[in-house]
Amino acid sequence: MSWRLVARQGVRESWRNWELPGTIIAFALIFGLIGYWTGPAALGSGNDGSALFGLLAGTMLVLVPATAVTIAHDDVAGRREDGRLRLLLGQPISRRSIVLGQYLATVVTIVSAVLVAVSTGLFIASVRAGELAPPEMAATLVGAGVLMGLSYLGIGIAISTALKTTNFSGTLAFAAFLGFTFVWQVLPRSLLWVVDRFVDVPSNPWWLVYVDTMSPVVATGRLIAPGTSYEALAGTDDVTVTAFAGVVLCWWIVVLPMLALMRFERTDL
Amino acid sequence: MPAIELDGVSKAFGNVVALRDLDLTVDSGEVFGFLGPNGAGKSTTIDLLIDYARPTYGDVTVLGHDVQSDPVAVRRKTGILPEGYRPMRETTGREHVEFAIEARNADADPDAVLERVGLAGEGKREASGYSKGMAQRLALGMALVDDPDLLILDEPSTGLDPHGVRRMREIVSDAADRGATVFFSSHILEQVEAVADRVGILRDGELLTVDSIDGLRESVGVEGQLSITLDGLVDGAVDAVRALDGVTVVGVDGSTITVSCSDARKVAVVDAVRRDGATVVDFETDESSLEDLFVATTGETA
Repeated sequence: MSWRLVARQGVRESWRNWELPGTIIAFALIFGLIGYWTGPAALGSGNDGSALFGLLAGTMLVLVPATAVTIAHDDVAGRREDGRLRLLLGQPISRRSIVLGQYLATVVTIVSAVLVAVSTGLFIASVRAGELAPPEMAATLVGAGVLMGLSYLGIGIAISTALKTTNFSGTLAFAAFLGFTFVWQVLPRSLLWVVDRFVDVPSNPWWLVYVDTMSPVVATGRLIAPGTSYEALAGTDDVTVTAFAGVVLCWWIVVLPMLALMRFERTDL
Repeated sequence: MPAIELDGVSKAFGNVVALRDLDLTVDSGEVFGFLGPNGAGKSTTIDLLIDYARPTYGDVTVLGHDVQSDPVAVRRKTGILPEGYRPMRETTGREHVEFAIEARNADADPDAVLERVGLAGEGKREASGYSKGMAQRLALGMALVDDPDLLILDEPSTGLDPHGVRRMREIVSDAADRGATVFFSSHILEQVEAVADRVGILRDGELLTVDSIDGLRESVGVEGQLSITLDGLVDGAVDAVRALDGVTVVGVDGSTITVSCSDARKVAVVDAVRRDGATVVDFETDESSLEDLFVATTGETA
């Protein structure tokens, strides 16, 4: 169980270098301020809080992926680059345990930050409005934050595991963040528009929804939102797409890091 | 069972061949010094032994385990002082040792380990702030946890002060005394000479020779010096020495004759002067050093 040892060491380092408490405090501050300013209008006077949800979810959509790739991209590559990994691997610890342990240490940071941020934001909004925020809102925000966080951590860890230097891993992780968060849905539509000779077609091809869903952000919405008051987030009620969203998240969270690990296990330090 | 076996091992980094068809066996309980000029492939060989790198061809077996298929089993019984490492961040020296103890599921006292490597009283400091020598001692301490069957030390004297060098030598001797195998690379040849049972000399990725230091002296034939002081200078004694094959008289100073010859010829020199009727009052021998042997073997200085 050396992965536990590595994870504990990772959490200890991130606590002492302020990555863990700093992320939690920053998330709590941002979500707390949103709750403070929008809480009374969004939850008071019989409003259902959807404006508050939209603002918190929109903030989370940028904040969580950006933080996740930032902390994950150098988790393995950074240790490999500066020689810490040579010391760690001098002990009877497998490369698999190193990657898994580091992954779990970053999961602790992101999940803690999401839980504290959502709790703080909704608590302050509820106090300010005199109305309790719906538990469903809290559960949906936490679920979305955790799934997005895990997906981008998976991408970041995979990049960090597969590459030897933080220059490359940082660049690629940041590109992945920008690409999947802001560009992914725009790109295929732009290509279609060009292919169709700059004419808007009345309906999208059937496969476009699947391409869209390959983004962790879109997949999270499509998996979390159905059956809740925030169904509109999913953008479709097709259960096949929902299932595909689950497969996509599984790919980013589990399969991609495993593929990177397989490469890492076969390469020189 | 051999502690280390390299069988037909080659390693290439792109177009650069770092090791060529290396065959090497190190027996259990042996102290083996690994020598070679910079870039000879010493660290690459060590990286292959501990699965930091994979061989392009060949098999590497350590303590009976194939290193590629079961690296953790190898490292469980091996203490490793690698080259080019750095301590963990935000972690004290004592926590490093505790980490090693937990990783090895050992029952050791971290303070005793720190004391053994000369870091008593430094355990509460963050190891990332240690000097190079202190970090080297710490990594050695981590390698010594649980008294491993095999110690693999890559340039262990790097950054150490003379006290540290002496302590390192004592640690190697202690390990050998309890029956552990020690495989170490070093560029400080006096160190290797002091502790190694056998040495291997590597150049350009090829193993030039493996032998004991005495064996090397014989096979390489590097000349040492012998000074013989007689009870009075006897001309016949000088002539008798000059008549010997493989012996050169380099000086006569009063009643002292200094000759240059291989270690194997020194007894013949003494016999020659005694046969001539001279009485040997004193003699001093200066053996060829490992550095001489290294230079003779590789054609380079260490």
